[in-house]
Amino acid sequence: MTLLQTRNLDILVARRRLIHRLELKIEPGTSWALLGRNGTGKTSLLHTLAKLLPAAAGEIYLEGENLATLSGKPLARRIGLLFQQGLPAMPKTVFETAMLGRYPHHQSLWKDNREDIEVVENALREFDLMHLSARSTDTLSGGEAQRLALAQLMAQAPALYLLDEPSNHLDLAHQLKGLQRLKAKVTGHRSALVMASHDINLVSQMCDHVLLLMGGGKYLAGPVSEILQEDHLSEAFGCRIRRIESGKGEAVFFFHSA
Amino acid sequence: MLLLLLTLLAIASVLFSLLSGSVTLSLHDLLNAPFAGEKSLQLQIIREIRLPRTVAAFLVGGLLSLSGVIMQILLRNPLADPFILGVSGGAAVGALTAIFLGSSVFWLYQSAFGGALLSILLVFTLANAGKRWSVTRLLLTGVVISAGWGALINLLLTTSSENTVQSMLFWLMGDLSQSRASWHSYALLLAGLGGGLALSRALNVLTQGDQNAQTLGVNVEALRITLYLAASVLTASAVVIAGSVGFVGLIVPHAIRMLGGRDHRYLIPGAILLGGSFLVFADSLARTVLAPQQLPVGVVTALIGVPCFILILRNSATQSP
Repeated sequence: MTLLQTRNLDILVARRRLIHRLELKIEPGTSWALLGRNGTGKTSLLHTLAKLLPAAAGEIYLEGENLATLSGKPLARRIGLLFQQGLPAMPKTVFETAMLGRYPHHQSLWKDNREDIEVVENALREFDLMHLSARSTDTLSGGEAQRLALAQLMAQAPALYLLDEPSNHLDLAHQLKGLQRLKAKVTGHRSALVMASHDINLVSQMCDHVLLLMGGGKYLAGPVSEILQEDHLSEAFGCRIRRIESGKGEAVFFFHSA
Repeated sequence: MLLLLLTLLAIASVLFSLLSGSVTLSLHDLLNAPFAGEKSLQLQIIREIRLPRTVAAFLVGGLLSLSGVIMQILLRNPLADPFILGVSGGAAVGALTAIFLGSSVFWLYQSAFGGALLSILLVFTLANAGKRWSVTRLLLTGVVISAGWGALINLLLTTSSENTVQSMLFWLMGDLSQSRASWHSYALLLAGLGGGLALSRALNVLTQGDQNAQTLGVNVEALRITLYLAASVLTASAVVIAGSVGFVGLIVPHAIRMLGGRDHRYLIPGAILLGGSFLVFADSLARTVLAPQQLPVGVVTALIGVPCFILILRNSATQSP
């Protein structure tokens, strides 16, 4: 069953039409990249899909159910969002922060049950944070904080992962490793992920589908090989972008000023 | 572990309070009091004078600390205290009006509680009117309403006769000498503790910001309204018993956090225990240090609280904050 489907979706921010008549079908096991210039509505779209912002028109269906009818913990078990600006928080330990991701799953009011602890420890391990488990969050570096936010999202274990610039602050090794961990969660399961990013090269390695926002509500959606073409990208970003095949079906992208 | 220590501290503070006063009692007297005859002086002192006052002090300390915890999350501001949104100002205007009119103690309580409720509703309605709710809006509304109450308080103080001004000032500084806790306040503190524990995981999530809490499944809108009303009513009931006892609600939550209780599952009961003990201890000193002269407890809370807090702050700064 289609995991997420939008019909005729319109999104207005400050009276500007960012998304117009968006028809998107996200199947389980797929990884979508969300590309576009600043202010084309990437974050607004993610927030609308997570039900933080109301859509101006159209509907969103999650596994056939209208998103408007879902809320609270049941919704949080199915859709999770990594925020662009990380976690704004009163300081807590790394472990406590990751444990917050289990909130929609908690059974017990007072004790963390064994399953929750295991899930959290796994998530911390996946993002190389286990050794920082007892550290206070206000002592973390930018990259560590970003990995913690990712670990919290992984502990939440939603069906649909919405990621707003997940590679922010991450060094190259962690970009690849961390995002591959997330992708492993998605492929072969009934999950999917949508990640907004500015890194076309990362996206071309990580994702199998692309939603390219062209501005003013125009968009292109489809498999990576179709959308990540020189003409589409150059139009969307307003600068010349060259695509060079590197063999093995992979491509590298170069930028030139227009 | 922390909670166990705080419970011991609470018991110690209550014993200290029951034993200190103008008539010296030993621990032996205290333990024998229930078995001494009905007419025994010890029993009367403890049961009629010290116990009610000690209980009232513990309740007020607990109520204010719990309210302080809630206000600090609600307003996402470490400087928030139970009085910041004008509840105490409303109660003070109510109480001072009653004193001004020479009403009985019963009417003073009613009037103070009425003033507090009026203030709660006023701030809530104004902060929610029309536009979208925001922390800044609520905070600004509360501060402005507080300023309004402040002006009315000054008006009442300047137009009253000298001996009424004396009792007004005592009320304003926070004073437990006339205090008797009613069953309402027991019930409220217990309900606050129970409700706080039930919501403690949601509160932990809320410290991550509204949007993140929303995506983790917290109904932020409903939780905010609940928190505002809960903190206000807790504050109102404390203020009605003892006036505006400062310092407790601001500092106790921070002290617990620095002692390692940043998780609300521990912060909430911890703050109630520490706040209660702290006020019981402060009140014992308030009525004994300059006996027979009694000091307003609000003066003592600040005088002991400031050095204690600086000590905790220094110690926690050397570890990770």
